[in-house]
Amino acid sequence: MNDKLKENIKNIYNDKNLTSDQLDNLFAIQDKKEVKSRSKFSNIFSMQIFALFSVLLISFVSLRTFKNKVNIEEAIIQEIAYNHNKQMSPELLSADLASVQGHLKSLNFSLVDSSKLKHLTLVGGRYCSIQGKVAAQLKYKASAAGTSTVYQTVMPKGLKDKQFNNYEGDYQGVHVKIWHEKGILFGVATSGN
Amino acid sequence: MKFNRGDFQHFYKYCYSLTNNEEDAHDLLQSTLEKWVKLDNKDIDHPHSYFTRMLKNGFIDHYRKQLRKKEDYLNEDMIENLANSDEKNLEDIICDRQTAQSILNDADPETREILYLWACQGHSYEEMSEILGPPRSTILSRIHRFKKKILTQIEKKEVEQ
Repeated sequence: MNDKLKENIKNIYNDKNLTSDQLDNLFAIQDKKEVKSRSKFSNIFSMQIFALFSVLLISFVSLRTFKNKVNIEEAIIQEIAYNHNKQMSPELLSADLASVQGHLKSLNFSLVDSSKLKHLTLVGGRYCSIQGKVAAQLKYKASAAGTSTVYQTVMPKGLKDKQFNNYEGDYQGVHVKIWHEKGILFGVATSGN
Repeated sequence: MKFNRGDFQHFYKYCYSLTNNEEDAHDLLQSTLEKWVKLDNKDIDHPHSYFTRMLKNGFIDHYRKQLRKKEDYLNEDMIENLANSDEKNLEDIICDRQTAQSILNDADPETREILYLWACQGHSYEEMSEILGPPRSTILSRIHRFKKKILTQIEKKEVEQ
């Protein structure tokens, strides 16, 4: 059916809407700012809750690590898959690895531009952690629809002493490959999204 | 300053006009909001305009390589002719939704942004120049190129039918 171009364009954009989940997520991001600007009493209470949560989280991660101590590769696969499913957005949107390196100032290693990732397009990066060590989480876009998250961190102690080469596995719907390159542990997570 | 649901939906549509991709539009909006909440924004006079500018800058930073840099040169006479003819004619163009969608998909981000402001926000070319920054001649140039393209596409479709 023909209509005025203006009306067609207006209808096309009017049909594009955020989902309820996406809106809830945006409000949650916005409300984090509000939490910071509450009274001093509320801030102290929030800090106590945060401290308790941190202790619980550390205990949980330590327990998981202990349980998987025998097979560190599997522990890393599971950790990467778990982080991938959280679908956190990059802190910095950039297609330039050097720019991401510049933004992630607390990394204690240099990001490596792996030849195994040449077919992917960098979208951005953020901080993460692998086995309790600071890591970079890089979001890449494949030529077809879909994204991969790539993790880089220094080689964990348990793998340094092993004859470790490549390893891959599946966990919670996520396929993860890990390898080491130029002293850095790489992990690539892809899912059916 | 807190944005409401309507604000987020408006910003999302604007992001979509730039990226032409729903996932990218959402990513752009979310990452810009994360930067916004870190600002001390209570003293910003026009938060909606300021945030829109942040979205645009975020888009430019990420998609800089894909943006067209070369613009057609227009002299003053051409600008006047376009001002007298294009704005009115664009309002009169009739097509189906599929053609309109196809044209949006082929258009560059700057043109999509202009079309969004024209169709959904009702801004004139003069207002767009004030909002977006480029001179009116640049806005007219992009509209002129777009108009040629869509009329060609409509004619082609009529011939095929």
